[in-house]
Amino acid sequence: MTDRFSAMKLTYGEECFKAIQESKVLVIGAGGIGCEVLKNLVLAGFINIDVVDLDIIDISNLNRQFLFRMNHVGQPKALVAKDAVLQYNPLANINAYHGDVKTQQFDLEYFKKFNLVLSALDNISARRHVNRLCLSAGLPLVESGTAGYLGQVTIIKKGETECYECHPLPVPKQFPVCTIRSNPSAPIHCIVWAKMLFGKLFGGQKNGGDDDTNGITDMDNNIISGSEENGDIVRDEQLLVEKEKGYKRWVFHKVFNTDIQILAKMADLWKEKQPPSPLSLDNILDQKEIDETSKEGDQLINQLKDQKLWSFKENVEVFLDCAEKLKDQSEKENGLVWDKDDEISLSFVCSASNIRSQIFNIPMKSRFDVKSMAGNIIPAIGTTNAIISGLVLTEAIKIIGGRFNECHSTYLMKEPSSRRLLIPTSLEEPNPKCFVCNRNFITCKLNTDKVTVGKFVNEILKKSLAVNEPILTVGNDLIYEGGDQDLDKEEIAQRKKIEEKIMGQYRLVNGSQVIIEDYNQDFKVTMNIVHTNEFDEDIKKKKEEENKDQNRAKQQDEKKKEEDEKWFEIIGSTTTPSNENKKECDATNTNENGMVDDDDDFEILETPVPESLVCKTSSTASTNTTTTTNTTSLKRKYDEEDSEISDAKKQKSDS
Amino acid sequence: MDTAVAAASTKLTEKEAQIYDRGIRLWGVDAQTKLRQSKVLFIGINSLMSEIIKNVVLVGVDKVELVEDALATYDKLACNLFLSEDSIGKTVVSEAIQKINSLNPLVTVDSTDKEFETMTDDFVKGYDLVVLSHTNFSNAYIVNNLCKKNNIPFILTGTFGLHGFIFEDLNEFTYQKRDESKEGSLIETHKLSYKTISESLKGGVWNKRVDPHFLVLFLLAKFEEKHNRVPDVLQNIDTEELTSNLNEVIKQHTLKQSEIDKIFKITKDTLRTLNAEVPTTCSVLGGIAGIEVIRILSRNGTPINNWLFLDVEKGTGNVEIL
Amino acid sequence: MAGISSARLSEERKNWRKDHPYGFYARPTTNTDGSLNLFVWSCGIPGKKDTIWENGVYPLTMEFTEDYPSKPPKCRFPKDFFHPNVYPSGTVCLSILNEESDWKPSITIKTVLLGIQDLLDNPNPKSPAQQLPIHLFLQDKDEYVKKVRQQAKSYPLAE
Repeated sequence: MTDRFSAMKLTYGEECFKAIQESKVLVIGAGGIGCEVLKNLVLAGFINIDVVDLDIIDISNLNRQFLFRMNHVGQPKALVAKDAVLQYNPLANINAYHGDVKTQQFDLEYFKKFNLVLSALDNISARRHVNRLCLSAGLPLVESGTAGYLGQVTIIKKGETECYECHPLPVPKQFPVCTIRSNPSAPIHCIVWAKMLFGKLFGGQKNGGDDDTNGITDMDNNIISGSEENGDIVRDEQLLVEKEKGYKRWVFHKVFNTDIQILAKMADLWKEKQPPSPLSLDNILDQKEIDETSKEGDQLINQLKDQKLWSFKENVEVFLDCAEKLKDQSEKENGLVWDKDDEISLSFVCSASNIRSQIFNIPMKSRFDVKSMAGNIIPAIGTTNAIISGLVLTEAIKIIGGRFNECHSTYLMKEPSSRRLLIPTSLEEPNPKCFVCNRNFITCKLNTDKVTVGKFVNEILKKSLAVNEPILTVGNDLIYEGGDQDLDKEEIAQRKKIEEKIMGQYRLVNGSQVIIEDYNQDFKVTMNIVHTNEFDEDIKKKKEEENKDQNRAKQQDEKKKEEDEKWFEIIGSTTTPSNENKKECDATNTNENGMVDDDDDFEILETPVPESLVCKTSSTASTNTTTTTNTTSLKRKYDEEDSEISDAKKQKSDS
Repeated sequence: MDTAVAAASTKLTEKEAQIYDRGIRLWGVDAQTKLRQSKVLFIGINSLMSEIIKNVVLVGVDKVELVEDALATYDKLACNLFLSEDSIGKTVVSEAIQKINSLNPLVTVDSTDKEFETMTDDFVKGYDLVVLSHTNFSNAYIVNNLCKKNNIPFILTGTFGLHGFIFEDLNEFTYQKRDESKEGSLIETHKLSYKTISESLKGGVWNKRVDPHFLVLFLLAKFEEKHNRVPDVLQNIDTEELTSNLNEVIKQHTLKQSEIDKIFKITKDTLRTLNAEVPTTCSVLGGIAGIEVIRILSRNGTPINNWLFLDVEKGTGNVEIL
Repeated sequence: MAGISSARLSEERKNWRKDHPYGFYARPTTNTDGSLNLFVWSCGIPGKKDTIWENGVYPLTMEFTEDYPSKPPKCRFPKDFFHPNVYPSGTVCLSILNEESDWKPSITIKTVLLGIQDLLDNPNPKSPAQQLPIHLFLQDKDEYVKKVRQQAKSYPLAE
């Protein structure tokens, strides 16, 4: 016995172990889950591993990302992780990339090199990207996430399971503008305000300092009430006085005095509450320090320095100090971006938020707590990641070993629920209305330099595909609206103009994707436009032949021949491939390992190609019209309820 | 003692606050401080234990003490995080100490020798928790009893291929917990009473609602009691005896065929891989055991009472009171 | 990718064409090439009959993002539009337009416009967004009415 894998071979079997060694795995993320996954992979005998991560190591990673040491802080995670994990098997062939998986470097071709992808990411945007690439490449994807004590693992495989986007994903919370600007009632409202203030004051041009929607304050406006019109303007003259005394005093007075005066005048806001009182800087600075922090009586011996609440005066002093420093920095660097790990930026937000809180009778928060809230920090520990990554590996081995039917999702609870700490659930089938994994695709080949929009609509959409009143969308734009009765004269005239345009000069270019719907019917299909000259030759030849046979009675034949000229081709079906069709596809393509060898590229990001081999049809030489399978069920049901997107059934957790 | 001095010695340093930040934000600085004062004894540094130790050391305990007398050989390597090819010929414990020091230099790590038969109270005194990796039940009883006598929390844990278990005897254990379903609720103190593993195995009544893994352990313990050794799974005679004992137990209950098949499958799988350590199971169980250690040391959150059974392929982690 | 949002907006356009409340208009804005931008709509809200807002059709821009319908659209009247719950920039402050408040993905453009129409003659003093209107509304009703009627004249009904 000369290696450490005898237990693996005994437990999983020689055949499975061989498959493990021959497989190629891509790990995306070398952080909390990533480190544990890499370790598990190498110890399980995986040899061909690529790992991608765009981050560098931070000191706060060290409590769980065990492949990293203090002296690694500042270095790229992927590279350090690779070196650390090689010790477990120096013969492993690991390629580590310090890069962003969303870039061209890691395109579809790159993904196709692997048998399996393991996602160890911590953000939704990257997860969506990886989801789509794996769907395109037909690769199984093991998705996982952790937050605090909780975690989950699931498998995504095109056509067999739900994809990451089958159900609506959680969107980050936003607070209503009125709450932030006029009416805060909780510390978080003041923190959000403070961050916006930072952006306004120090963001500079490049970082949204001029954004109209960031109406947090207007440093030059000192009108408290009234208007020019009525001639009853009330101004805060003190503002100009403070401006003379320097930037920090000017800012303080503007946001904590002038602006507060404006709000206080809105009497009805304050019917049930105390109106906010504007602050006088000099009064505060002159005040003797009252130690407010021993209010509770409880001495928190263990408290971290950052957990100690600053007194109100301390907050003011910190605010003034930071404002000045940040102003200088901002000017030197042409605008700053807020960073929770930048000491001064954090102190600014903390102090600004606390001062505002005090004005609105909201409890102040410690710097420690402000960092959590402002920085959206998710607490994290290694044990959760270790558990989840062990489950990730388990599912990975099932997939590699050809036991996909045994795969399932697993949820980790904080404490046992009905005696269960780990809860397995079966994988869900794909959502038939999923926008990402279940779209209905067809391809149309024609000469986009010659065919007009009108001809396209009338001949192809209306006649060939039997769409009643086509509605066409490309990207974010509605490019054609059928259905006369509900359009006004102007709109109809505009449409006529569009019909005269050449397709290629009106969005319907080679490689474009147009969504075709019907104004009257439940129908929807996505069509890929492919430009081709191939039909021109045929038409030319036919015309030449016609000229040769001028003596024939052509009057009757001409019409028929015109109809016979083929000038477009449609590939694909306008119905969703049924499960039966799917199985046929799989049966012909499955290789020994039970993994589907998909030749068809389900590709949204690049030029698409026909979706299913079995469903591929092309027009015959003598007719224009294409044959589509199941013409009777051409219209796909599109439920009215689709416009109501229900609340996410599953919470997708982020690590 | 002067409060200020005590405070100074227990207060986390600036650097510790930075390193342990994400954990502190999860369980609070008081729990972190308790961890920082804790000493844990780990007996039997196999692959599973290496995972547990990794998890515990990373969160910042005061000291870990290791007991292990084996040399590193290829079959010991398995998925032990402290061992690599370079370790062959060296002692497991010296490799472990080196790796732990590197993993978290703020934790003190030491080793001690001890024979199970001659252990005395002094062996376990001074530790806040003792973790034993399962090799045989005889050792388990010895260590458990010592801990019980000295009121020290005890954890026994082991893996068999794709299966594993955790047993806890925390004596009379008080801990704190906040009801998280209510906003701004207060921290409440709770208390649990635990029995020894011997009491559990002997008194534990198995019924069909109980996780079958318990039955397997029960049979292994019974075998040991009779033969004074662990079963040799390569010997037919041993497996036959275990199977016939299993049948005896099953006959005493009315079970459906599917339930019987399930029990037999788990027993067969467990016996087949009785000594196999794989990274999937060790990573998962090491993580679960790790959280338990943290909970117990910080007295924060409900610990397992008193068994957890893991089937890593099925994705089940079931807790039973037996 | 805009998949879900553009599909929903296309659906909204379809439904609006088939059936919309009298006096209102709502249409995606036109791009230079003649196509329609589904994410920016140009709308008109008529003042209710027998209120001080009558005889005016008030123009409103609705801006959608790719997070629609998880997130509500941003609705804006022209700059300095006179109404207590409209910011100087024209942004409308209304509970159904707030994610934290009463916004639900099932709320349609029709509902939004009807809701804003309702708001015209029923301002909410609890969320003042503009100094002058709220002041007049509370302290000088006559002047308030005068200003509203004046504003209605500058947004006459078409034809």
